[in-house]
Amino acid sequence: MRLWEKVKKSLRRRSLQFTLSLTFTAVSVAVVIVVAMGYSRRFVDSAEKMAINNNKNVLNQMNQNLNNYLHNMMSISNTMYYSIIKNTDIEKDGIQKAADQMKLLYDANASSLVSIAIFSDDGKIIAAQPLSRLKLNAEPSSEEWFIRANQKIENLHFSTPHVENLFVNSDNIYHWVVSLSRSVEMTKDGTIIHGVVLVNMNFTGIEQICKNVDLGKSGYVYLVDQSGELIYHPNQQMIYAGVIRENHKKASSYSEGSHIEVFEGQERQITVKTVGYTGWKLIGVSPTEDITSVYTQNSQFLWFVAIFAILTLIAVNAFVSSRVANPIKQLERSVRELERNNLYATIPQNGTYEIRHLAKTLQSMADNMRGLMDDIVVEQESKRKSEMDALQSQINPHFLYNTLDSIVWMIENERYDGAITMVTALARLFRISLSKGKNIITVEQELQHVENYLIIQKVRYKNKFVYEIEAEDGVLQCAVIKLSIQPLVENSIYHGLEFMDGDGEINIRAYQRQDSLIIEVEDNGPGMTEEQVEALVSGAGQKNRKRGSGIGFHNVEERIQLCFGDEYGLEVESEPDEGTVVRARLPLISVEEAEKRGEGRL
Amino acid sequence: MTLKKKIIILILSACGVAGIVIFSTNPQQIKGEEVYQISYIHRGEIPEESQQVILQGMEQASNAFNVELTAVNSGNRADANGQKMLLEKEVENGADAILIEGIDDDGVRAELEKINAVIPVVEVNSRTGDKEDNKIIQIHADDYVIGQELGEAILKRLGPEESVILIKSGTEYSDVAERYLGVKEIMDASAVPVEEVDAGTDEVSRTLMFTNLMANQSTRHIVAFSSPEMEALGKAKQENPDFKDISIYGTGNTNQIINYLESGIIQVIGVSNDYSIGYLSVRNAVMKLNGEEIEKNQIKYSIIDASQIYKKENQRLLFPFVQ
Repeated sequence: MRLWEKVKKSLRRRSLQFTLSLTFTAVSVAVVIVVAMGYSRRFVDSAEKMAINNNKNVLNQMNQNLNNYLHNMMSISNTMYYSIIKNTDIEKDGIQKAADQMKLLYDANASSLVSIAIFSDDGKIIAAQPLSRLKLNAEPSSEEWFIRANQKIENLHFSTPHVENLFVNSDNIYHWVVSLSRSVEMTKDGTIIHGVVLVNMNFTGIEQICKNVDLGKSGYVYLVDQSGELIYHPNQQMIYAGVIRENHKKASSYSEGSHIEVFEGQERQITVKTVGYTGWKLIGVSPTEDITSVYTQNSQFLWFVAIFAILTLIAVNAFVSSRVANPIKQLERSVRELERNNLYATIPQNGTYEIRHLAKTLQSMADNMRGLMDDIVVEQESKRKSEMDALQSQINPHFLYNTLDSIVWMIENERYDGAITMVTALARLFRISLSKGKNIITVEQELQHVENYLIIQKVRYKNKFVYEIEAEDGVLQCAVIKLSIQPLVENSIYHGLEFMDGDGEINIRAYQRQDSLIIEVEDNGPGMTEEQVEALVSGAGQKNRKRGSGIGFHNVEERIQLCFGDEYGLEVESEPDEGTVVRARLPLISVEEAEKRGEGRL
Repeated sequence: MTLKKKIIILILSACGVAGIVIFSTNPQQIKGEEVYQISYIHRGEIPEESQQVILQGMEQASNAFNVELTAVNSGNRADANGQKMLLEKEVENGADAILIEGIDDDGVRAELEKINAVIPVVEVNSRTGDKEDNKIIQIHADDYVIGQELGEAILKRLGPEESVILIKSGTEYSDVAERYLGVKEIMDASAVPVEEVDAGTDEVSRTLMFTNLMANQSTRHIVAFSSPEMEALGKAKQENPDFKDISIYGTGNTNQIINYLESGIIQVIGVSNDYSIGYLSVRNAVMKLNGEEIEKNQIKYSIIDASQIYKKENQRLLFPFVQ
């Protein structure tokens, strides 16, 4: 369970593609392995069964052939006995009659026979074919086949292979034979006497039956008698020579059927078939290695195919999982973009129907959000503009009223020149105020505006103050918010100079400091205490919107910050009885640049 | 195309190629068996009958071990130069191993050692080096002991003061020479007078010489050490009833010799299991080619007189199953 939890935890950290690929691959590999193992097992079982069945079939066939061969030999023996010996009185009919019949019999079966012979009970030859002269040293009665025939007279006896050693053969040919012997009763002058019939079968006949059998690559068949003595073996000569060993003594004790034996370190499948009547056993030997090599090769091939299938499945799984996961990954990347407020991110619509549907929905949602955001921005801009307009409009009625009041006063007092000057200055003032609806003007224009304003105010205040305007040439064409300096000058007049007994001074300076444009308005009025400065800067007195509440100061600061950002604005330096300096800090940029920057804001 | 796609296409292509290879390959054909070309250089122009038994043993082993066997000879029994040239020729012809009944000659030995450094050489029956020399594989019976045991068997049949004639020919081959030495040692140890006769290589003059030899009144026991001499002696004795009291002994294993033995013309023979020698020669050559360890082989032999021919063990030795 802990392992499963670990796996689950690990998979949670992995990508969808990895999880899909891993899961598909694990399942397919498991299935392929199970199938391959199943088939491999079946190969093994079927190969073993086939081998056993094949061995049994081969041995059955051989047994049948051997039975036929032995029955044929037994038929020859029967013919000799029942057709020749039983019908012949060797005394009355003579031996020649039997010999002639035997010759016919031999000729008819010459390919299988080496010799046939009839011996008397004491081992003397009565008749034989094709040769009938016994060798000097031949002693038939001492031969095993003779002894066995006389021991069990009712049976037919098959010997183990031996070299035919009875008859003189001028060709110097020595035949390996298997002797079939039986005890017979013969008639000699009407009297029954015992004798032995010998049929020497050519060993080649048995060899032909037993060799060339197909028991796999190195399988073979051998033949043993009841005592385990070899009758036929493909390596008989080498076994006799002691070069090769065989487990024939033990194998002769095996029951009929299939057995597994280990001989000289080699495991072998032994199939045993008993040959009828003789008690001989056909032993089929198939080294297990031969059987296993067949299914090992098939199994190797199967596993080769399985590995190939696994590799293919891995590749296909990787491909399919990437096809499934890629659209989701793209979708996920798009969502991340959206999270980063990039509502313009394109959401690819690939993959399956569900994913495409999801992508469409998401795209639609993003579009809606973008629309809403745009609406909000437009709304905000509109609101900001309204605010700006409102701020600017706060200046005009109050000033206009006072100026017009002064002009009226001057006209009433017939000070027409002064009235003309004021009207001219007012006209210029409004022209700059209009500025074709622009909010950003040059420092030069703003200073002209300030000068016009001062001209008007100087008349109104009966020359109670003097003023001076200085500007560095380099800053004259820099951008400044329209009507941003004039309210500061207005504050200097109203709060600094209005109540002064002596001459007031107002100095206006525009210059560059580092990367900023500084426009400062300095007066020599009564100045402010630190608390007053604090109250002015913090805007604590704004609520009553009365004169001296600092509303003009904050209008200017808000406008600067709305237009150029929070890093810009106003700062105040003031000392009681010394005067006040209000310093506007603005970016050192041209009008065009400022308009570009302010696009969308103002 | 991304790297991942390239990798997938590469894997699929590899799988495809592997699949074609798999399905076009029959699993039964995966393991092929190598066929070795082995040359057998035998003595004499055509293999004698006893050598035929060796050859039959070799052929059975060739079937068992997937060998193509080629039997060649130099034409002359005692031609060391001919053997050397034949060796060079067989190596040039691409033989994987050489089986040879080598003439006991330094030149042949040197040539064999040179070849043995490249391909396996097996000395069959006869050897060119020392018996204990393991440089070149030797497959042979203990011919000296066979000679000694044959000598013992002869001793039993010798009357007092009787001498023995040893036919000394073919001793350029170590098997013949050692059997000869084995018999001679036993005779010398028993102070039996020994006369050595060189029979030469010409068949006609040899038969005549044997007839003359047997016609000599003092000749009672003759020992020969190879099949042709044994057969020639048997034939000479069979053809002349006057020689019936002469005893012939020797080594060799042909049907004619067995027939002479059975009919009392030859008295005792020493026989080694030539079939095993042939079989083991090929088997050991193949084992050497396969880099397997070679076991020391014991070759059976027997000293046989007429009464023992059909003993089970002797039947198996004298009349090999030829399958």
